Amino acid sequence: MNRRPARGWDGLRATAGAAYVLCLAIFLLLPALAIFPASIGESEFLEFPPSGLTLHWFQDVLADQDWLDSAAFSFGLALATAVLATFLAVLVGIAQLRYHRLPKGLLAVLLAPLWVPHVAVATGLFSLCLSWGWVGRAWVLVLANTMLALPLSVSLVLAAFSVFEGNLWTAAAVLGARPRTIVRTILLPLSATALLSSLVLAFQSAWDETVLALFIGPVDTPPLSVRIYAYVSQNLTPAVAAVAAMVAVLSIVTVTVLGLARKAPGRRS
Amino acid sequence: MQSRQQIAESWGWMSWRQAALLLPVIVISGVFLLAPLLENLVRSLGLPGESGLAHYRSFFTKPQYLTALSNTLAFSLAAAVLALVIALPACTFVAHRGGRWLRSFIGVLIVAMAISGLIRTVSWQIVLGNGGLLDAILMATGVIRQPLGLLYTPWAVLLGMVQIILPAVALALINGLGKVDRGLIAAARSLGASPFQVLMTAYLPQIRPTLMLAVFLGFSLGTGLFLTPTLLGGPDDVVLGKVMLGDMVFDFENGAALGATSGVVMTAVVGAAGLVCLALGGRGFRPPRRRGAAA
Repeated sequence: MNRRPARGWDGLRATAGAAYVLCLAIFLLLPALAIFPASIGESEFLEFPPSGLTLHWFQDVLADQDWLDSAAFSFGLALATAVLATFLAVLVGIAQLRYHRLPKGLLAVLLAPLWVPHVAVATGLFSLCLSWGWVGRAWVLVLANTMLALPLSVSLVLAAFSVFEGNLWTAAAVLGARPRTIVRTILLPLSATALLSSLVLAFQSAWDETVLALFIGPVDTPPLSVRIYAYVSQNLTPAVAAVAAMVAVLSIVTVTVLGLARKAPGRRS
Repeated sequence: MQSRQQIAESWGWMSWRQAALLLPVIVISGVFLLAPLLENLVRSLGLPGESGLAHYRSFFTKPQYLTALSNTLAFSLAAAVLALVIALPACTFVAHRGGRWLRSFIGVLIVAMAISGLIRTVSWQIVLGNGGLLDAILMATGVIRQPLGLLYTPWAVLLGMVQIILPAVALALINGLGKVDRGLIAAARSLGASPFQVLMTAYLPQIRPTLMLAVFLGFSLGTGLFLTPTLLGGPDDVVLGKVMLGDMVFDFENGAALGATSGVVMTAVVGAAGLVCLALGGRGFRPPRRRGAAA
């Protein structure tokens, strides 16, 4: 790429471009930060500027069993989804690697949650669950969230495994390694980054999921996102802002850690 | 004699071992994705005795549903196009600049995406609310005297939706723009093409599939965002998802059929939009390349 010091029109264009990108970054990130000042005001209602600063909304929320139960439920849900989606994606990856192709249409179905409206799936699933007595069951929500996370997990794993297409597997097999050994000692370690990404992204997807949970999730202890929605659709208070702030911090920390892990030395790609 | 596997492969079907590996995802996709969509279709067509399209007739004659449908489509389309128009200059800039700019911008997009749509919606409520952060700043600096009253208007919905879908649209754009063959543009220029000709004949055909894919991605994401219009919009800004939630969860006896019909209509509209985008996007004239398994 051309890296001469830019002059005249080119320089102006580069400056304008840089300024525009910065403005866009601010537009994407800054509004989300509004939950922080909103969560430390003393008043019971949102007010700007806050009349006094306090952290007691955070204490309140962290002492409230309902919020804690929802957080625990969401955490379990997201963890189970992450592990299951990644495990299933690895199975799909192995099937592709061993048999060089997947049955016609399978990939189209697996990737469909990327475009099929989730609310339409939720509608159908709700009426099915109603007739099967499944509404509010945690495992149903786990499997449904796994379905939503599969497009990401499967794409990541297939992309990582495509490196092994053919030669590496054959070489290991020629040297006498059994399939299980190949998977354990070559395939999984070499695609560790992709597996980690799959775990984290599937976790995030289930942790944030609201639509399916609104339809078929448990009512007494709803996932955190549904409880936040239930509160803010009534009244937006500093306490809810405090919850939102903690959830947002957790999300940002997770993706940052993932980003650093991907940059760590020893990665391929 | 053919082995079972050969027979299976000659039919494009799979062997037993492969089936065992794929069975879990087939079951999960079948039960939690395909069966619900089928259930919508069956329920929308009604009981065997009823006239098949009665529910569709009432869907398309009840103003409540028509308004919700047109709101959904208008918001999603506007938000997708706006997101594309806003993101394109920035993505072009970072894709051509490469290096640190590209990495940092992708980092910003990923962090923005990591904060859930619901929480970003809540933050817009705080920013736009009456006497909210924006009002407070503008009034303190003397720009305005009265609160703007932006919250609970269609503009707030649009703003929120654009901000929520923009990172995904931008990532799709960056992915496609990175593959643009700069040699073709240099060639067109050296052969004496005007900037406009270069744009129309060498650049646009290369990025057209990417543009259409990004718009479709934005549109389909937009149709799914029913919490954002509900929390940021006014009473007139109801979208279909909200109506479906009410129909199914709070009034199943009377609402289920129309909820299912709404689901079918919505899936069909998004699917049709996808086909239109695919047709408009075409294949571009990128040199054919063996694509990876993930493609």
